Amino acid sequence: MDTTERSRRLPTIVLALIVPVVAIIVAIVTLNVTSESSTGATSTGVRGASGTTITIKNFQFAPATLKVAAGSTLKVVNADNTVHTVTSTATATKGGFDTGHLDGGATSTITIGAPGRYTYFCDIHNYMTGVIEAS
Amino acid sequence: MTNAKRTDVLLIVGAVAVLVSGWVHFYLYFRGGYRGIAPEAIGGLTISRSFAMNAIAAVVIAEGLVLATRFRALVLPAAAGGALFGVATIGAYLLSRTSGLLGFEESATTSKAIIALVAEAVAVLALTPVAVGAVIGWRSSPSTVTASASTSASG
Repeated sequence: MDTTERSRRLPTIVLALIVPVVAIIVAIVTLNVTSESSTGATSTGVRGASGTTITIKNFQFAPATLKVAAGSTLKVVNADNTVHTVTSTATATKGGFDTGHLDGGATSTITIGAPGRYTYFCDIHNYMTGVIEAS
Repeated sequence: MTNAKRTDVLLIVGAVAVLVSGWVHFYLYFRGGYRGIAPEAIGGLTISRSFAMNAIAAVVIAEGLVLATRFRALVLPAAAGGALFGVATIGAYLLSRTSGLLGFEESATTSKAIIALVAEAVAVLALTPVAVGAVIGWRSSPSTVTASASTSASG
């Protein structure tokens, strides 16, 4: 390697610092510019076990068991940044419901018809389950 | 373009691709809701932790790939590591879409998944020829490679 080419090379320490510096900057920007969409979602009101909102956050339904009056319309908020569904195990003819694919940050509504106990799950991540008890 | 320059370009392309994949996993871990999911654990490894490990591994491998442009002795381990990283990450994603991985199944295709898959495919395509070339070069004349590496390191 000639002297000219050698002098044009980055110093080794600079070369070694490129990736860590880029990684740190990208990480800081990612954590500060982007935000968990739950910020907006929680303000819509998770009222606990007797509310009218099901919030999906960290791949969990909250509340896990929701008590509502029959005929209620429930709001579903996807506070994750990935797609989820709220899909009942009951068929539509038996009062079942399905939000379909809810993108991260999206909301939807479901209506609970007759009194009963409705179990539901995420059709994409089927270990995610919840219960609605309508009376 | 000389072989050395072509190798350097492929190493940098591979490093960027690996970093992009790592960034997607970092983003999904902190912002996508993947931080708290652990339907199953094997030896302490959960789907959540695997996302964090992917992001950390990506930075380590990318550092190796960038340094390999200066220290030729790093070309084989860094390129092989980057290619294996891509193959393993694609394989893990395909498992999560089919039989499940650590109890986690995914049936939707998201934009982040597509970005990561493309990045991992680029990493595999860029780094596999570099790794194979390094193996062939080493097998044909290991002393030359060693000498070249030490010359490069000292220069």
